Amino acid sequence: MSKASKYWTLVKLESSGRQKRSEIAAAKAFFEMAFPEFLGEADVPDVPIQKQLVQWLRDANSQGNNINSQNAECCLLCFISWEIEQVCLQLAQQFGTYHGFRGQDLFPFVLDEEGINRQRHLGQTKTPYQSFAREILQTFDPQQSSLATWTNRRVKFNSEINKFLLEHGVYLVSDWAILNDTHPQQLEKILTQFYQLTSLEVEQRLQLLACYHSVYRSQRLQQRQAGARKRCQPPTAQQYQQIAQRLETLIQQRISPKAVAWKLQNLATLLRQYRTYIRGGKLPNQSLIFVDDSDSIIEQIPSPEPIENDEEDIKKQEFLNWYEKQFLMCLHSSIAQVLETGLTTCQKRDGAKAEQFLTALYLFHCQGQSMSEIAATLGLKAQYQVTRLLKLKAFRADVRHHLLFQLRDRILEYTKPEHPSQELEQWEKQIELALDGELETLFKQAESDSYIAQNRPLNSPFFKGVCYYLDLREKSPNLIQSMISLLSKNSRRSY
Amino acid sequence: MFTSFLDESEVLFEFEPLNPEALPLSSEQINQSLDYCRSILDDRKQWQTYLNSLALFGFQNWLEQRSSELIFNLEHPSVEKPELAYFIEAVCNLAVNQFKICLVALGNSITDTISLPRAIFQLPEYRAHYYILIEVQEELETTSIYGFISYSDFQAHKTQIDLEPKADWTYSVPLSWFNTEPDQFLLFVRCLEVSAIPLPEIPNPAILLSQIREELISKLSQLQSSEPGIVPELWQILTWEQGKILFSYPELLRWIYEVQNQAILSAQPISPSHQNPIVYLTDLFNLLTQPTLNLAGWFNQELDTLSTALSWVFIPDFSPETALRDGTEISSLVKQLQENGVEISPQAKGAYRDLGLGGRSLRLYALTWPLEWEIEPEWTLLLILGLPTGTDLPVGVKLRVSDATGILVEQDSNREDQCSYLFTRVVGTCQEKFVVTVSLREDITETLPPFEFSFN
Repeated sequence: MSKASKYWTLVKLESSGRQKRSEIAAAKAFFEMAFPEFLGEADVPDVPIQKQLVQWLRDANSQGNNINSQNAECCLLCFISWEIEQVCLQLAQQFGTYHGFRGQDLFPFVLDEEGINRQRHLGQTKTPYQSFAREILQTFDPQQSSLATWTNRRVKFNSEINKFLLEHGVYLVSDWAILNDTHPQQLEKILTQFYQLTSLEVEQRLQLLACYHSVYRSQRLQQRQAGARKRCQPPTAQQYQQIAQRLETLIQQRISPKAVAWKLQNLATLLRQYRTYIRGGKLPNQSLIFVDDSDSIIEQIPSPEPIENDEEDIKKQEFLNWYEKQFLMCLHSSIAQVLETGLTTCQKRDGAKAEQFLTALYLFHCQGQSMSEIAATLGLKAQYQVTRLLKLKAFRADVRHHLLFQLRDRILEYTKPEHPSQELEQWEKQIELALDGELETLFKQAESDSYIAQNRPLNSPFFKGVCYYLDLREKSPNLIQSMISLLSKNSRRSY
Repeated sequence: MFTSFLDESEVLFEFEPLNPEALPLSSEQINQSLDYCRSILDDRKQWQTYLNSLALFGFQNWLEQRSSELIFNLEHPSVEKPELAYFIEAVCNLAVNQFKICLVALGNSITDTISLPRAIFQLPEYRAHYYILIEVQEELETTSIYGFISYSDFQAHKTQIDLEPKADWTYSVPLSWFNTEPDQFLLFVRCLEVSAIPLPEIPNPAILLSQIREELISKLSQLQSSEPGIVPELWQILTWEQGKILFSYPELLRWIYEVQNQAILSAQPISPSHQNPIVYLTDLFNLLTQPTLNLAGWFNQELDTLSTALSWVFIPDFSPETALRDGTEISSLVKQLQENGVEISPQAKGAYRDLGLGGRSLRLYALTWPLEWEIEPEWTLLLILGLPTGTDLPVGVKLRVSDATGILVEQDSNREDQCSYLFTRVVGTCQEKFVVTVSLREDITETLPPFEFSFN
């Protein structure tokens, strides 16, 4: 169901780059005449209306032009322009802030219908340029989907849109990439358990997938060999033909390449929806449903609340006190070591990027700037680029590991652990708490930029350590090396 | 009709933010991956091998980026060998800081479980301390680390829910078992000792191969393609117990691979084993199971006990020069060979053995000597098959020599070309063995224990 006005209001792009809605009187009059039963209805049923409009449009095309067909086309193009606008706005709403784009940035790729050209006559040579909306209308098949779904799909898969979004760090995996990576066993499982299809329906789709694989995959590898483009392109007419031939042999029935194309697209849609569902439903480190947490091996993370076992608690506190001095020394040397190594590699590859990294490091740890502020300072388009530049999570893990490694032997003398992996995890958590408390949560918030910079524990040992290193790097870089070598001498495995 | 599971407003969730941790693959890495999977005909296995190879390079990129101090060895991944890539869909033979690592690629299609081969958990050659899943975004040419599980954690989970392997020799492993914090993997390999993840001993199946030889030969012959494009899977023909033995002998895997992919992996220009794989299979089993005759022993002026036990008669003081003068059968043979331009070293040692084939008595001479070598020591074996009487060989006599890669040479005496002897010469290193078979017709054959030339 949708608003009837969608069928006579055209969304156009003005030269300013803004979208403008204009009512087309002829289309409105036609719609009201054609569908009197819906007059005064706020919402109208789309499917029967669209089927009727398409029928008028296509009948006329075969019998010669008439006024009905022009008006029907006009109504459909209006509807499509609405949908296009909606998809762009939703994309911007979902990703725009973090990835640095607006709906307006997307319009030029897809919102290019100028208006309804009343001068078009059949038999007249086609204009060389065809608007995206008309292309959507031409390829629309009312037997296969609704016009809203079809438009939505065509916008999503528009290559210009995809290219633009990919540059902004937003990715839409192609149907063909999904089909390529789907095992028959996986398909069977998804169709049976998730979609609850019958065994016959599953069997048909398995045959289709097998024929697609045998044609498309090997040619993909050959194209790769020849240095072809990265993204998977839709199968060519010839490939559809080959898939259809293989399928015919398999099922002993005639099947047209066009039918194969539809079937493949529908199959990909099923897989895509399942994939969306499973990725959306994946929480990192989910506990097993059937495993009692207390016995779980992976989930042995000590809670930050006071531990009931006092003795244990005291022991850990002792450890932290006793080690405070060495701890800070090792921390500084670890930070220095991780950053030195990282910077050396980075400088070799891209000197400018290394400088950018240092600046971002400084702004974040010593100035307390937020990700979007840093992006602005560095002249980057979006926060996500700062996230990618700093890779804070990895950086902090590397520092913790170095630190642990330097303290390890003494730690392990403390307790003769039965489960070294678990012990290590626990010590690491302790160290993390000692370094910066609940910082991980803050980082997660930092990425959405919904937190206040003052919340950042600029006084935490970790932040101070990074600033200390940056300061030292400015003033006396030779001290860094001696600091690193002093502490790594004691290690058993040369770090 | 479309069966739409999600309503349209949700469709946009199919777009994903790029993972900031994802690392790009270089074009060399992609080309290398294409090379690894090129010779595999089965399109499913070929694609998985391609993804697994990309995963390997992705893992390498990640290690290089994260830690200059880790010592990792990715020099000889199992995907280098098509026969391993084909039968074990994972990348084995990797190590990071002494920890054995096994990788599997996750493509764009993920369910809540992943299918992992039994072999990577139950065979010492392929087992690892850590199993790592690598997400491969093939069309973006990037990879990221999905998660990992240690051998001991896998075993614990497996026992807990009593996870049984499936009929196709795989485990369906829940993805929820994997630790999705790759940083913790780095923590473990940086700070743990290898002993923290014990890998229990697995008994060596060597004795078993000879015990089930005949059964395995008949079963392996069923692995040939019955009709074009359709090849049976190992698990459809063999029991897992037999499969385990097979996985311990890469030479056998290689044979099946060659048969199923109509590919020749060895560098031999012409390999008759290709036309007659079953004949070669018996040779291969002899190489793998029979006691080997070490020809280096012949240089101690006496035959070792094994040679004697195997009825070899040493030719005392044999040297080409003396041989020419003493008027024995071997002398005239050597003379004929030398006239035909076959060089025989003055250092050569020789022995002969009489064979009875279908009531016929044949004599096989073996001459051997070490060669000049540059990279590693080499030796040669010259075989001459004749009659003790020196008369012409009966028609249809064949002399065949094989090594671990295939049939090297097959000589036969045919009707047009009456001859009194057949001869052939092969060259090998000290790691190589040769097996020699003499046959009169298809059904009358004698295979001799394999020859080697080892200084150990």
